Amino acid sequence: MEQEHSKVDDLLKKLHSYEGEPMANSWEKISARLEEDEEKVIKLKRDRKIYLIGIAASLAVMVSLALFILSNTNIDNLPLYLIIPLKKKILFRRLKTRLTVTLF
Amino acid sequence: MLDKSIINKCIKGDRKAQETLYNFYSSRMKGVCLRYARSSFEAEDLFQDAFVKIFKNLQNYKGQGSFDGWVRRIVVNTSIDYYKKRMTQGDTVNYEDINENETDSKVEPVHEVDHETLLKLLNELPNGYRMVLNLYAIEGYSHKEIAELLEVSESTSKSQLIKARRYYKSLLEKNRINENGTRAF
Repeated sequence: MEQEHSKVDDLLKKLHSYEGEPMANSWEKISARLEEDEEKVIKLKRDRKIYLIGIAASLAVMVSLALFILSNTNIDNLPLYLIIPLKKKILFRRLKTRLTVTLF
Repeated sequence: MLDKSIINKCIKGDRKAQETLYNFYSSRMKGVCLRYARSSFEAEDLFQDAFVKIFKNLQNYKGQGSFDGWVRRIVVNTSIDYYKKRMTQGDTVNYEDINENETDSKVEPVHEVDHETLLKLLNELPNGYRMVLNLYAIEGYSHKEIAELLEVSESTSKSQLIKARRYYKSLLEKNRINENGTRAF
């Protein structure tokens, strides 16, 4: 039985080097798909670059604004949501300094 | 043998070099696709998908093993992926729709059967049988490798192969072809 079956394998082995004829416009289609994919990759890279530049610019503006406000404005004129954490920080620093002085 | 400089140019996206590589392998790889597909249209789809994959993954070829083997493996894997997708989309076949015991081997051999007939009969096999027979009998993969590729157990691969051989044999007999590849009238 197995020998009979291996005959089928032997017969099929003839197809190992079988060659077919691709369609006439196959290469044009493959080439077009490759071009399309390359364009997609370029567009993706460009979008990513724009996105990163956008984030960096936003961060720079925010930091500059914060520095400007903090250096030129009296702390009491700042909005409440900024004052509370700032005051807390200042109080904590003062407390820490006092404790250090007391201990040493 | 394809020049290594052509491969390097292909990696850089040189379209002319890519066309040279395509021309070098197209006939052989179309032959592979025709064995795995059920029709020439399906084979053409597989063929184009495989070549796009080859060009996109060319930088991953590390020079280990022959380039011919690498190209062939991509074509085979593309065919298997296509077949797996078809199976999950519900393209099922009735494996029992042929009488495996039907024989007519008393006929006398007259002349050798051409490759086109062998291929036509191979295309008539259900997807699972065709894949296993292609991978084992033609490509020379082991049952362990087939099991990994098709995501089945080794025993499933073995049993599928036995059934596939029987099925193919019955198709040969239906077409009055002997197992040694000769046609009888």
